Amino acid sequence: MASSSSSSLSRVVVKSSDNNLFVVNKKVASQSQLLKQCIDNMEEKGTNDVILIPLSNVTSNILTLVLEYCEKHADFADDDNNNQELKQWDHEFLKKFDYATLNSLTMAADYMVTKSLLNLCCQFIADSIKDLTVQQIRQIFDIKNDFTPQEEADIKNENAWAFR
Amino acid sequence: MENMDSLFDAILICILSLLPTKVTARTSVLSKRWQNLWTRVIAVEFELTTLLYYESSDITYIILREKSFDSIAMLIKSCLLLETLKMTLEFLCFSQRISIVAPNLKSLSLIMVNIMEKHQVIIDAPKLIYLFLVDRGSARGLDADDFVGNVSKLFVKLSSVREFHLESNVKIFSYMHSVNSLQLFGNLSYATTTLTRRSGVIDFLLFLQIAPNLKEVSVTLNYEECNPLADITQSVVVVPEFLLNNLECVNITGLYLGGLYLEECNCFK
Repeated sequence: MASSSSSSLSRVVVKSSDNNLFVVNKKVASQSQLLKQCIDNMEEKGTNDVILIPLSNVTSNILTLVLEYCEKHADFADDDNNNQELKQWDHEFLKKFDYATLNSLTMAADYMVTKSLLNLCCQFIADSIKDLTVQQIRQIFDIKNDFTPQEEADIKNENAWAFR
Repeated sequence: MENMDSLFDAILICILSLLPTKVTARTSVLSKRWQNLWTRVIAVEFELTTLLYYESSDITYIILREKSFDSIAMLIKSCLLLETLKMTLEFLCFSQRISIVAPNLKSLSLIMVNIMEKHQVIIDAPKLIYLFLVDRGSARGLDADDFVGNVSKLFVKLSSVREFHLESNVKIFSYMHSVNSLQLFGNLSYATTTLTRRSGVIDFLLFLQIAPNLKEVSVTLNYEECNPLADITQSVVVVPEFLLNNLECVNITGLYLGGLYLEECNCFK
């Protein structure tokens, strides 16, 4: 019974990699280009059923966070982008997480094509790296040093200007 | 939970592009994966320890007082995607050379301080569109042949340059003409220069011959000597006719005899 008036979806169901289901309203889902694309495709086909979108790369706790972000930003979708309140919220939002969560969130934002969240995460990570030493960056972001001491010294030497 | 190494290269590069270049260069020692990541950032900004000139700019700015430019040349060479480069080179030693090899470079501003005979600057940037050269504080009156010979290699593969600015009291123009590639600046449409020597006018007119598509020229004459009128009347003859077809605008600002210059300009138009 697909008539043109009822082919517009109001909600979608998103499934996380650990098989939890999230009901998301369309405006919120549209913050993610990936979900938006799925919705648009289904609407074009004129389908009436609630669609299920499986996200095999995103766990439920990360998906919860992405959706929290999308929900907030959907509320402000009609405002201009420079809303101070929203910026403040963004900052507080990211401040809560440890770096492992931040990395996962960044990956999820990339996968779900939520550009503003991706940019936000990149900026946040860049800001945190800025004043750290190499050893601190390795520690905090859990990067394994696979150089021999000699190799490391050689590279340091090659870019000596950066280490002064 | 994921660690940072699970992020894609593209995301890491995006993060690096938000950092000052000095910080990104340090990430080269993090691990093998990170070693060359930072060189894939398109626009870089250098934070400098020896600040001679400062301009607020979100693009690359390097000021060098190094004894050797080798490390910096290597650095530029490793930045394959670099599009904008601004640098000030201060030559301290008697014999120094730097080569700027940048396959994707589109804009280059180069301020050279204390350039002398034995110094060599080589620019190999086939995609260069905007070139800004200033030679500040060169030995006055320097026009030795070997200098010209050395600067020679400065001008290779510049045929895509569309905007060119040159400030120099060295006879670079006359060299450029003698380099014998008629189309060296085949795409040049806008040129500005400051001439500080009498013979500069002739050299510059010779230079015009290798820039057949020039549309706009801006010349500032800054002589300490007086009336160079003789030069200019003589040189009008040199201007090739094909140039007149394309030239749309000539701006000449002279310290003396402004009126007379303008009169000559009419010949161009």
